[in-house]
Amino acid sequence: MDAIMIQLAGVTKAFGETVAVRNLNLTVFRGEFLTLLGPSGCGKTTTLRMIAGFEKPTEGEILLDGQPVEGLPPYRRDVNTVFQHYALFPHMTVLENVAFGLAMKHVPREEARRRALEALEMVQLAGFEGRRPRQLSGGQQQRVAVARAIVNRPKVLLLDEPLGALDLKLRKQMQVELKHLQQRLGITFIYVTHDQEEALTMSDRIAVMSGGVIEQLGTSEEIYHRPRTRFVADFIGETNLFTGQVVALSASGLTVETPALRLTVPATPEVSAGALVHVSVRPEAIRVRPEDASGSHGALVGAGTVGSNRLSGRLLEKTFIGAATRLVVEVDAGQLVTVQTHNGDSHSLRQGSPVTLTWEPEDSAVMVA
Amino acid sequence: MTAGVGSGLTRARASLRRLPFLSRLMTRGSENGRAYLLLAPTVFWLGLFLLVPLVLVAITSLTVRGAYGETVYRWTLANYARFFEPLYVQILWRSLVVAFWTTAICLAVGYPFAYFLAQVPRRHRGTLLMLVIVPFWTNFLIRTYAWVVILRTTGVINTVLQALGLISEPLSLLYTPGAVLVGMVYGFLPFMVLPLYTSIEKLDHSLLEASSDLGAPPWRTFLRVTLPMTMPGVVAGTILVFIPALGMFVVPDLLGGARTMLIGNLIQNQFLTARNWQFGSAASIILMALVTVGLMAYARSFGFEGEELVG
Ligand SMILES: Nc1ncnc2c1ncn2[C@@H]1O[C@H](COP(=O)(O)OP(=O)(O)OP(=O)(O)O)[C@@H](O)[C@H]1O
Ligand SMILES: [Mg+2]
Repeated sequence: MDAIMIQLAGVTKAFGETVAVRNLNLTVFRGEFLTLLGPSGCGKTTTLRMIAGFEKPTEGEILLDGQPVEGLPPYRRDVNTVFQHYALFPHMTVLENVAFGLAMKHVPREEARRRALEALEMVQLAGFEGRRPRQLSGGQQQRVAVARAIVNRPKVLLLDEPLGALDLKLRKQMQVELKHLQQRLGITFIYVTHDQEEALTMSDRIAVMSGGVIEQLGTSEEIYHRPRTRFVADFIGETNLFTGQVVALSASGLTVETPALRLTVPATPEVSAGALVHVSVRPEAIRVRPEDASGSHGALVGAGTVGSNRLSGRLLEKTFIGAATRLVVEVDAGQLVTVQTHNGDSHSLRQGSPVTLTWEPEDSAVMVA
Repeated sequence: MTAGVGSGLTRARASLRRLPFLSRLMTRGSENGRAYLLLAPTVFWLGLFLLVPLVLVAITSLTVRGAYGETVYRWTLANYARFFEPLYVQILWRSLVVAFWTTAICLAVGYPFAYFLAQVPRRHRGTLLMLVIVPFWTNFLIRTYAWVVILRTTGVINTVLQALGLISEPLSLLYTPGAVLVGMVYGFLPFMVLPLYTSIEKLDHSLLEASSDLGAPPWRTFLRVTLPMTMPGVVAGTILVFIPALGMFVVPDLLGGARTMLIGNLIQNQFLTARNWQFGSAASIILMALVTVGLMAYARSFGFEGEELVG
């Protein structure tokens, strides 16, 4: 896992005035499942296309397995791509499609056939080899595209939103299958998606991109629980953001004051006193309970741990979303806070009723604004 | 002027589309009743201007020529039998060879040209397509005469080469099989380029990238992906060139000598000079039968149904 498979060093790609990718540095390890995640137009496809050889970086260098690939055309790079719209050859059968790469490498006919059938079996398409791509469903075409790429056993497989055209259920199923396939074959995957849930479930590491730069690179947990920029916190999952100033620093935590609230957050090395920061709290990290009828804060003492955050507010909205219930609470400062609770926990709550929100400092993340 | 180009383009495209449509009628027939209704006007005009003359020609080919060239209605197959004399078989063979080379050269020149057309930025394409079509604004006869001016002993080529001192005696370029071929290729090239352009332009670029991604160098991508995917254009283009080339008489008349008589000239002569309508009709029918059978075999061999030729 430690050998470096792909290295992008200071890679920039400009199309005329538009800078699609800006000074990108990225290391991908052998056998890793790395996801490029970001909104539309952030440069994900451009990055993949530079690795595949379809675009030439304006600046910077790309190393594949230690070797610079500069000047190598796509057909000489030991890299394969699963295209977003599959790009299957319509005039060939499924088998011919899958065997195409092997034929190009002059693998003998019989062996190519055997390996192609094997690859089709791997993606659970045994028996479909005689069909034409247009006689397949979207999901089946997607599998052919995967088989056509993995049959070549490339050093790196690039996947550009391979599940983008599938419905939710099939997507979930294919996510699992792709992940299994990747683990089984040990091929390095660079996977592009703008679906954050997909990225979180499949990846070893995620590179969150925005405007041509990597905002944060880390494991799913790091990205989710320790977002380093406001963009990452906002883009990955749903979150509540508070903006304020650091008014006190201590070993156990920081105190952040917003115009109307005072929050305790975990100690963060890069934050100094007086700094303007964003605080992110996930909806599922917040607990909710009815406020004591008397409205006395005294009733809450002892309910939360010392140092935990406590806000009181009024329940505005309550939405059943299946496995959980989503609440929107207007806290004292007029800010809206989203909370996600187990269905039972919010049973007694009525719209308009006063509530108390609590969360532990460790469940929030601080980002320099 | 631009409007003229636009509608010229549209017309050219429309006429391209009609061809596969006809070929589908020939090979399959339509299963759809409503399609027949829509076809009614077409069928009427085709009947009036194609079927009626065709029947007249067929009848004439079976009659006897009178002493003054008039038609004597006595049935005979003699006109057909006469066609199989070596002289005429030779003319037919020569016509096939010339049409074949015309088509082959048009394809060899037209494919790269159409490919180039499909690659240039969209905003320049209209201009280039217009340049392909502009020659149609001038009569074909006049354009062929232009080649006489270029090729004759005192023509442009010889004058220039002599002025440069590259040759001392003028080359005899005109009235050779080569001149005929040049004239034919010149005349028919647009019929090859337009359908090719249409199918190359439609080619999904990501397929070429996929091929390259899977390890195919450009020439293998061309053979395995580009060419098969643009085969409908190749088939349409070769048909559009081969058939008129086979019946061509203007070019061999003007640019070829007596030795390059083609079947088109033969038929024309029989009708206009020899006043033997009977033999001319028989030759026409034989040529048509040959083309029809050949065309069907050709389209079949590519396994094309009409739809695939259209898109
Ligand atoms: N060939 C090109 N010419 C000009 N601009 C381009 C070209 N390709 C991409 N761009 C621009 O570069 C930026 C990044 O594009 P890219 O396709 O990499 O985005 P992406 O992250 O893949 O987006 P999406 O999720 O929509 O696919 C965009 O602003 C895009 O308009
Ligand atoms: Mg993209």
